[in-house]
Amino acid sequence: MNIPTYRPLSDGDILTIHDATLEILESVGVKVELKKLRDILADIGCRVDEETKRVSFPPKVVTEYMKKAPREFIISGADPDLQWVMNPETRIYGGLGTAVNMYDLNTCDYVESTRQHNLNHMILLDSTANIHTNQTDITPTDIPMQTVHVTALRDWFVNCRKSSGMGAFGVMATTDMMEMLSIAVGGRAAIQKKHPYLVIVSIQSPLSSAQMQLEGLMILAEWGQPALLSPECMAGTTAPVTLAGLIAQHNAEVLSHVVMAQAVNPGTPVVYGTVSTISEMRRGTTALGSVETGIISASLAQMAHHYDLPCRGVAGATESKTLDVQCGAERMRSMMLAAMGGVNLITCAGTLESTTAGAHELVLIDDELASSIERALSGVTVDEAHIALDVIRSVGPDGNFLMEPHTQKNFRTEHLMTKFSNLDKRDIWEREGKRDMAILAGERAKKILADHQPRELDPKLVSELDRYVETVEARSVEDFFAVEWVA
Amino acid sequence: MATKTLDELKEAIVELDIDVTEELTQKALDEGLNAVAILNESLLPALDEVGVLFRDGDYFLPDVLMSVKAYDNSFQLLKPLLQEGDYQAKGIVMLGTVAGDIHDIGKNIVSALLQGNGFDIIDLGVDVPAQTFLDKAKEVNPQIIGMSAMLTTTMPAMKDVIDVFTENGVRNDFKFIIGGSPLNQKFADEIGADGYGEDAQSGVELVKRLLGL
Repeated sequence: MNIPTYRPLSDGDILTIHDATLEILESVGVKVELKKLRDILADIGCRVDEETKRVSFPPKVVTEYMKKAPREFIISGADPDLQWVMNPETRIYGGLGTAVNMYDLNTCDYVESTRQHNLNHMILLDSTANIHTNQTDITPTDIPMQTVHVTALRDWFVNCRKSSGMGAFGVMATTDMMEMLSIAVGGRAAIQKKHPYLVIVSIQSPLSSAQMQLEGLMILAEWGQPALLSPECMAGTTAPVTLAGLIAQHNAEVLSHVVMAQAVNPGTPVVYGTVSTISEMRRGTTALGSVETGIISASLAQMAHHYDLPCRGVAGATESKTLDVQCGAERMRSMMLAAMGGVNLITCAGTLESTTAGAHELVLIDDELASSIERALSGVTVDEAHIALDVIRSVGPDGNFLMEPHTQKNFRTEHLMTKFSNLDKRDIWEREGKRDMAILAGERAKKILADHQPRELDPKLVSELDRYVETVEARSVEDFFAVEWVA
Repeated sequence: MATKTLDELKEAIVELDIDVTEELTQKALDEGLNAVAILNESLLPALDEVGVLFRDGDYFLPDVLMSVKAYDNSFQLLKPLLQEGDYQAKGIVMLGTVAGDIHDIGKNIVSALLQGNGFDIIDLGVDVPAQTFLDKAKEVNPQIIGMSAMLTTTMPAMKDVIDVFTENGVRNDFKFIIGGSPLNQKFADEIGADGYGEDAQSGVELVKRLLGL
């Protein structure tokens, strides 16, 4: 059950913001960089100014096309036996980052992230009980940039069972991802009903778009694949400093892209996304670890649900550069606010430093934090068996419940069994090497990675994927720029 | 009475009272104060005071940007009355976001802070080709050229800019500084830049250091 209990916006506020959004979409408009998409929008009734590339969306068009977005779709794993429903009642967690640096698990050094780091990160996410998807969170900086998407997809498919995803980096990358997914799961038709990849389309605030992302959006729509529409508005720099203004603008940005997706292919699954936060006013940079991030994610979940769409929200992010108190406090705060706020896909597990760095320990810690949130939100079961009057009567005053069969029978389901919070008495803790949460999680991570085996797959299938990767590797970076940079 | 107006003007800029700065500037001029005096005794000290407030954590970027606006409102009234040599900018800094990149918030913040610190700014905007950096540099002769990038994919364009200056034999006539979130000192060293600013305020300190100010 997912009934949001943290609702920053009242029902009246939601309608007020919706009205403001329609006003923004019509009178300010959104800059659409891609000509062919502007033409499609003109055809469905939008007003286009070719000189400024601004598209004005009349309310009638917005309302009509929002209705075409489905409320639900199925996410599948690389293993087709795994699947999750994504709708406005879902609550699942995911990795997500744009990490280019990594805290190495073994050396504890801060290093540039590699293909192996990304793979290990995905393996760890896959091993958790609560995290269901990743987004190629760690950037392999040791392979050519234009091969990252296909290499990451191949590594994921060969090693992981759960779902994955990545950013829509233009025509080539998005097409490659679609083609490789088809190879992996047995044809284009196979990914129509159950989607193993969630692809993020980044939206440029304020009220704009990037050509590469729109190319990606169009390809996703043509393939009927889910698009995670994700602006990262920053209050005070790329959006109004006041949260309500940011929410209204963000809402306009997402709605415009929902309309675009539906205009290209009605029925394209979409997720209403947010990475929005504040700009910290001393430096003008993002503060994803701020309390406002949680407020914004929860508010935008309310907006998403107003349109009966599932919502993805940033959480677990922190500006901390290390596994310290700030890191723990900030990630827990935003995860809890997002979960209580009804966010359906809660992302950014495993990252720190505004998601520009990753740490394997954090994957497991975030899994444990997620499990604590799930426990909190599952509340208290009140019935005869749980009130346990008979047991209270039998134990009586000054008695002890530890030996009771009732205790043994119920403790595992009533109490969250944590692995990484150190609960020892001081002398034991000292004797065992003063291991804190990060160290405990790190030890477990090393074991999981050491024990990992790739999936048992048809070698012919793996070869076909490898051959596709080779084709992409044979392209030059100039080929990539030539295709993507052309207006 | 004239001194009082100078104090009021200085205070108005520090207090970010943007509506009255033009009025007070005109009042000072009407009272017979000359433009240089107003500049040196109100405007520039006001910006210094704002600088201290920012350094001490009492003022934040929006405050500083507003103070620069207040200063500029006033300065535009004084400019036509200033004689040659009355006012010397501390230096000329040319800024631009490199080719393929349209992110400019950081650059705009640096621009405003530098203006607030007495530098003249030539802003080339975004998605600026290397050749444009060269052509404009030859035209305006900045002491410092600042390049900005936000993406790992556009960082290499910074090297292209420095290379085009080298190929034309003019690399050493300018100092190059870089800034942007994917950057670091290592990259700055690799491409042969003269400096790297971790954030906007560091960029300002860097400019001052490179010019020996």
